Amino acid sequence: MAGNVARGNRGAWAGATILVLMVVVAALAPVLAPYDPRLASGPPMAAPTRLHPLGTNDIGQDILSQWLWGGRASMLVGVLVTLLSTGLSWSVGITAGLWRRTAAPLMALTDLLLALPGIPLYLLLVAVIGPSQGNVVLALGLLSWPAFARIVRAQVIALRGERYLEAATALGASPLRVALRHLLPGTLSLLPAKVVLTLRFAIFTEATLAFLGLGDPAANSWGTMLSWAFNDPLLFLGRAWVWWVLPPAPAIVLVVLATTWLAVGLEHTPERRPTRPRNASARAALPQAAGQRASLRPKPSR
Amino acid sequence: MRITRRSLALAVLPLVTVAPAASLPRPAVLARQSTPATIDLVRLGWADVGVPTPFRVSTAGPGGPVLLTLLYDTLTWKDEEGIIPWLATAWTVSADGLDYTFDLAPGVQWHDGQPLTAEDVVFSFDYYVAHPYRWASTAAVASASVIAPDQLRVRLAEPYAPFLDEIAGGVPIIPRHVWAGVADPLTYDGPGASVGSGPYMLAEYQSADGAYQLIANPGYFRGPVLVDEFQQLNTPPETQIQAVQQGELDLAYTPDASVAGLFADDPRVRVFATAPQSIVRLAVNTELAPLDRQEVRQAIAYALNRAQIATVVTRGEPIVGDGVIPPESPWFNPDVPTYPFDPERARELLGGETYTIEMLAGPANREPELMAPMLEAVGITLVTERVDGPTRTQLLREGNFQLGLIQHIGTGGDPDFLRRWYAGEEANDYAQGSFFADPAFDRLAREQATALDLARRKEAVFQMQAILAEELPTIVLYHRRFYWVYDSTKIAPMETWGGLMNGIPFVHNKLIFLPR
Amino acid sequence: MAWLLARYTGLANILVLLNFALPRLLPGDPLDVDSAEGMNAAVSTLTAEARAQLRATYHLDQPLTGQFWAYLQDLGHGDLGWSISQSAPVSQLIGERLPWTLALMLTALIIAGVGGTLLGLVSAWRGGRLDRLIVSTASGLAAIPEFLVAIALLLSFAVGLGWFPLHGGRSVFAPGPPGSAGPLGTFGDIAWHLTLPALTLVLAATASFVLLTRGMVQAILTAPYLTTARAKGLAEPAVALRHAFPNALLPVLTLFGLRVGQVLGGAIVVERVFAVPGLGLLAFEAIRARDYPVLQAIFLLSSLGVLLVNLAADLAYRWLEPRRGG
Repeated sequence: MAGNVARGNRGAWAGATILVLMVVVAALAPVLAPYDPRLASGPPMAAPTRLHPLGTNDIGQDILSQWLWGGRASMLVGVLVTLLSTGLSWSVGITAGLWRRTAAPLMALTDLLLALPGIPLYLLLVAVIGPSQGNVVLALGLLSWPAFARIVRAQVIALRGERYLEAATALGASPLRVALRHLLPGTLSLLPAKVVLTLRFAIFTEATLAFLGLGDPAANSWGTMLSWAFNDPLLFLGRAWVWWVLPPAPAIVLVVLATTWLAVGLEHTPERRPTRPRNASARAALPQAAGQRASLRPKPSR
Repeated sequence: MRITRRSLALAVLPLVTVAPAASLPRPAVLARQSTPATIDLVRLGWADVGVPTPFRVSTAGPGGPVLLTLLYDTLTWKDEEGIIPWLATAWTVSADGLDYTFDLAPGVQWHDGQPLTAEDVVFSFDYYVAHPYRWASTAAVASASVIAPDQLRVRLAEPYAPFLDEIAGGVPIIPRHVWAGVADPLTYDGPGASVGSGPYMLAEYQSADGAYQLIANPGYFRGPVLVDEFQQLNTPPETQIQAVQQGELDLAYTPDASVAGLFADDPRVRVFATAPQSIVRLAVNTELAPLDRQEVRQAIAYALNRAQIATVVTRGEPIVGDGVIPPESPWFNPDVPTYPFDPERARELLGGETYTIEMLAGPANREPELMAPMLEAVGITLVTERVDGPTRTQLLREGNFQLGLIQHIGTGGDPDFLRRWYAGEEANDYAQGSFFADPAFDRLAREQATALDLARRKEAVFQMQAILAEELPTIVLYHRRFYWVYDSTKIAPMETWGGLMNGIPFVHNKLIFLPR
Repeated sequence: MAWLLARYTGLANILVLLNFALPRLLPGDPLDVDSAEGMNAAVSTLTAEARAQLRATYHLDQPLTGQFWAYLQDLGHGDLGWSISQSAPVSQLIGERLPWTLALMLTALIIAGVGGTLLGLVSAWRGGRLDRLIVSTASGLAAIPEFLVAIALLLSFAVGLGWFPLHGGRSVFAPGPPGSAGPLGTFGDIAWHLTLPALTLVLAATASFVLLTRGMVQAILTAPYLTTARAKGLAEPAVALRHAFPNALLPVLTLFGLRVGQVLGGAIVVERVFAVPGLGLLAFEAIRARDYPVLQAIFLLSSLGVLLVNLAADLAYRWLEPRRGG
């Protein structure tokens, strides 16, 4: 077991390092990029040269600059969608778990959203509201929270029977306070899984929508880079795909992998023992206990 | 849901195994004439174009009516040089240009064996009044009447110069014995729905796969059909050229000029470039400021380095020009004013003002990114809004736009389309977004539509092009060709005068399947 | 129980309404689709009168409530409407395409589900290097978006090596009269065409089953009752089969059910890349063509399918673990 933990830590460190590196590079894109990615700064379909280290695309835009800015866009979409989706999952889950009267309508809403078919629904929504990046974030965020909301709610229900909560309420704590101070920490063990899954889902779906022609061409993300490349019917009859497709594709894979390693590493780390749990509620809320129950729930794909 | 053997096999598919198709035998089972000079099979890579009847074929793209040209015939047809007799062997026009008398070819039969007579032709024109054919409007026809079993007269409401090309050469003649009893052709699925008189008969249409199998008509009135079987398959554009290379298809097209270089040394696969009948242009809303000013429109034309845009996007020689009608068209006016790339002149015309202009574009257009810096350099900020086809059509129709980037074919055919764009009478898809009220242009447009003298008509069309180039209600970015990649051992593609039908740059004119 | 059925019926009703409304939010209408995308867009003529005539024919000129009422009435008769873009009854279109999507998705799901679960079990039980290898491969595969896997497979095996066809679900006009190749020949041809698409789906779906099962089994391995079984001296494989696996199965079945429910919409990317004529591709084209009846029907079928699977899962849970409420 100790071996697993050490390995888990190594994975977590590797993942964290890669992610930090990519975030820094993305943040510094305006500084690092040699050209404006929208400008046709070189001859079209040029192989890598000193001036254009990753070559140029079909209309002469510098691929390195596009790749740097593209990472910014893709990861921004990923982060925003994850924040939105996680926030909604947790809010709905905790509300439905704590206040029984809200449970029925909220769970009905959850079921409704889960019943609608995934990708065709996104396609439809994007076609309706327009393919801007903001709309894509909204669409992905607003439709990916249901699956985890159920899980959070189940967790809340499992925790809510604990004695310490009755004690807290009996002592006059308001339900909101109970929720935030006592239940929330208990559900935190679910967070790594949710973040990884949603980040992966967001980056993948953004790229897939772009690939299907419904992305925002002005946004210049890794997904749109790939979609322009695959739009060219003669792409694979030449050598241009090597420098056009190869940069964004593994980048997407790497970001998701790094996030996965990080999350897996966090799950394996033994919980820091609180030096002295201030009260029984903190002890009962140890993520370890909750995590055991949580991992028995089936993981949704979103 | 029909349960067929095929669907059952699919539904219980437990494992995937590998079974090369080469193991399937290839017998020639269908009974048809085969002379030593015939080719077994030609496969075209295109798309699903819907149920192959004149009323149900898809209107999204030209593949539908082109397929129908193989199944159905028209009164006249076109070869490389011009209009030729087809179902009509000869015709006379009355002095006032209102009456056309057609003599029909003898011995023409429908695919089900019945004879084709003048009754069928007259019936077709009558039927199209109540059930319009989407690809050629017969609104100009007042009536049609039978004179003899092999002779008929068509009477027009007023003289209509494009009649022989667009209507007589465009509307498929349909069998009376099939359609006389059909009240709703939009849903008709019964016997004879695809029966025509053309060189090919429909053997099978697989609707899910979007694939068509046509077999040669043994009794075709124009002679023996040289290719036994013609298939049109639904192939994604990304793999079409590879498919020709690997022998899965015999004919496919690409808009990319660099394909010619790829097959330069290939002994079998060749590339055929059509005349430039596809146009990429900006629809201009001349009713909204600042584009209501001619100087601004002309400034845009000067500011854009259109030759460069064309070279980058097409990867071939740029073909630019401002008269809308493309070079190599029989109606092309080489002397229209042009706007070479001149940012200085553009700035001059704008008088130092800066503008922000919005442009609608499709999701796959590359031009906006090339245009934006060019316009920025003269003080125009271009804001591009990406929308898909139907959305753009709606916005254009409602006048809810400033510039619209559109691309389409049909510019090589009969020039009456220029009148229809700006006449406001007939709603034609690319008339959406055409705002232009110029009395001189309208007068010339009506003149060319009713002109019976070719020279006079040409003169009018030339002047129309000059006005369009001067006023710029539409700014032409460039013209482009289709590049057809084909197996030269099976097909000899041909260019049609003015494009197939009304300017469709397809190379499988049915003449290539017949002895010449 | 009655509450459960009532809830699902209520959801189904809302879904019917939603599926009617959603496609009509799309800007533009089906008659605006005359213009195809791309440079080969051709001009078809549609005079103002003809346009009005067509709008009346397809009931597009009626107010929304009238259209909805007509839709409900048709639905009651099992009539899913008429597709404007394909000019065919919607039920026929769906009937033709459904078997393709089902065959593709169910095959891939079964292989991924069974294979993934076994791999996960082995991985957690054995531990060590095998475990690390399986987990890293699974995580690696899960990190690649489906369309990239699809394109990579297409390029290497169909374009590059030429071992598989470039597109399609089958050789459409197999030489000889229909059926002459025999059921085995037809089956083989279809299998040959669907190998790469199915492989793409399998690669994409296996990882979740592997990781889920592994997590389950690992958690259970530390459970007390298993230690007792070992103490009783039972052999290791027997311990696994008799005790660990059935408990791990429940969440896996839930995941499987979840995926089955998503079958109808899930193959869209694969169908697009390999041109398999399934429902995903139909939905994609229908969005482009603003074909409301087709979209309504696909969304409705898909969501009702998910509801059914959920209902079945809920009933199964109730039967298996009466105390597992909430």
